[in-house]
Amino acid sequence: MIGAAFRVMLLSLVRDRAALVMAFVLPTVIFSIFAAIFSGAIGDRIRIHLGLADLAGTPATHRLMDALSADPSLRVTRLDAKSLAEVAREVRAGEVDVALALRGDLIAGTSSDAAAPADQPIVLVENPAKALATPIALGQLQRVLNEAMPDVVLSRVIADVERTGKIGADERRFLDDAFAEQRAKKEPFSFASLVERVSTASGTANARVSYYAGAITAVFLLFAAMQGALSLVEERESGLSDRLMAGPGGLPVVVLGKFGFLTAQGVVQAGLIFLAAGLLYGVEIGPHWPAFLAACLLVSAMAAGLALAACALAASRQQAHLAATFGVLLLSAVGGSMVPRFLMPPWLQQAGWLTPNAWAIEAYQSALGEGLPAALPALAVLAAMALAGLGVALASVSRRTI
Amino acid sequence: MGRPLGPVPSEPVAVLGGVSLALRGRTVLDGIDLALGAGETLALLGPNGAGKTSLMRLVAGRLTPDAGSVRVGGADPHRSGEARRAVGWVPQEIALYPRLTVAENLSVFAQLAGLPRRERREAVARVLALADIADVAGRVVATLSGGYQRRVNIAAGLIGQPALVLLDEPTNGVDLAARAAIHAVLQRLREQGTAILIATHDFPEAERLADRVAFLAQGRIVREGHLADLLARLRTGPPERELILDTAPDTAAELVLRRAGFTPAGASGLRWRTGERAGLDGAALLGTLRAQGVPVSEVRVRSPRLETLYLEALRPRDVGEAGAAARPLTAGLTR
Repeated sequence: MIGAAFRVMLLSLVRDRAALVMAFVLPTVIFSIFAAIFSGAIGDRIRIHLGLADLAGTPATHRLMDALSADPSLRVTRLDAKSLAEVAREVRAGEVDVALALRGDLIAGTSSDAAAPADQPIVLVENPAKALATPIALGQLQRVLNEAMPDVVLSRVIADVERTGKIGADERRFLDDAFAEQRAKKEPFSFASLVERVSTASGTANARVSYYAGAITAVFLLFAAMQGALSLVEERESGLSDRLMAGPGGLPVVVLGKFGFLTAQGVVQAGLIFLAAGLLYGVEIGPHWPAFLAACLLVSAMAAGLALAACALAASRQQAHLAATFGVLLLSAVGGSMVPRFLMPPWLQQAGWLTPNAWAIEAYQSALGEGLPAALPALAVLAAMALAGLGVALASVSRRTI
Repeated sequence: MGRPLGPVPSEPVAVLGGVSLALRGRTVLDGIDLALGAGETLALLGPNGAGKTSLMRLVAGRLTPDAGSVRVGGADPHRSGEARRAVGWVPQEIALYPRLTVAENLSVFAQLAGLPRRERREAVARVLALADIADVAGRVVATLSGGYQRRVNIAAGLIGQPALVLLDEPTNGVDLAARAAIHAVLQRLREQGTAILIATHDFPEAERLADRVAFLAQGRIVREGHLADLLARLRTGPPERELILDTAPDTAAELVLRRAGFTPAGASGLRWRTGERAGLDGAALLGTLRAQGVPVSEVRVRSPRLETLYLEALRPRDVGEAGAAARPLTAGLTR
């Protein structure tokens, strides 16, 4: 009897060409789009659009302009602005995300010059709507200064020392020359390379991509399962439930059949998403396939169980639609399927553990990163959610009389 | 228990005893007694909201009564899967999977009815033949005409060879040809010894199909008995007369009609009917009423039918005695 409900779902899907295409083509399309968004948003290169305006026009500012323009992690537009006000106008108009205006020479003046308290040759013009761009621009500026113009940085330090009277003008000139010579020989300055980067990634793209592959799988399967489970509401409204309930197995066998179908459909959809992740981003399942399969199966079962519970409890088609759209959107937003959870406020990060999405992401990340033992806690939570959802759905349709 | 107005052909397939049911605090059925034997067809007639569908849901085991008992084949259909298996339910709606073919739908319902795989093909062929729909077996249900969909809807209820078939307004919204086809299906079923409980608003249909009729009003059976007995008793009485008016009667004309014992038949106000013994023949009645300002265009005289019985059974008991007592029109009325 359970097989009959499975067969109905399968035949109905196969006969509806549009639904069929959407069920099995959309996962890869949506993954490709979301993956591009995610990799831009949480990848190691957030290529903000930086505006540059050289108002001073000195050799040092020219060098900085060139160094910033040449940096691959920035998208630079040279602004044709003549004043700070014009730079601000460009930022406000959204021509660039953030702008740096070089209004003074970067080389510090001699000791005879008055050390102006506001000796800040670079002005950063920010847009509050794009606040994230400011720290990125500042960090990148500091990095480019250290890497491409260490002599300029050092000359400002020496100028400070000279101003205190600890060294004289001759000594300063000597040091400046020495640094310029070292730079000309392309000998490294140790302060410019204080940091060595070590990654937890084990060579494959798994650690980087499995977050958003898991995130997208969770949200997609929840939406797909809700669409499939809506048939429960449609059957109620078309009188089919009347006929099904009159049968010896009643509606519970129909719910079980739908659960089986939606879980199987989810496994195929998750497989397609990870196939795209493998082809486009080099995700490797390799030795972790048992854990990966378990994650696919339990994430699909979780989505099917929750969707069936929502549709069994819904008193009308409208209620089911609301649950399908707003409910899934809310769970996905809080659970990290749309914005990575580490970017959220701490309380929301904690609240995320109450959503199925967070556990689905956790299951995929640990399954593909470390294997089955590490994924077990998340898999157990998903299994519990699947069983709870299925239990609620079965209890609800058993109690329903009309 | 049901009043045995005639011999019940065999052991009852379904028995309802003192059944009462309330849904959401509203009394839906109140003290229902009914019995239905094998091969017997019972038509359930009553206005919308009278409790017909609820009564069928009780027999199908979908609901359980608050008081009294429901037995199908001796068991409670709400608790016993075996009892439910003996019931074929044909809902009012087209309860079919629209994207599946006729044969696929029937096969799915066979599977849901618990038929083993080896018996399914045979069961599908059997109901295709029974409902005379083998020619559309391969068609997707959504592409069928309304009449065919109704027949498939009935066929799906017969797949498990039920001893009792419940039909809720099976010919609702179909053309005459489809209606005749559906009646033929039900006739074949009856010949096979299947008990049929049919809820309908269609009096000619009930007259044609039913062995017994039960009128249901406000959750109670107000009259029940063998159709032949009920009609025989009616036909010994005065003929029924129906008036067709040109326009709806004004207050004065309405008063004349009511005093003459006529009551409106239908909501339009253009058809009035009486079963009272009359002092005038058709032509004289037409002239008399016209003379009194009633816009009558036609008088029909015919022997009373089931509908007359129904209207009589459902008419509030106190109306006849109150106020303007009906009295036969006589020529003397025209003063």
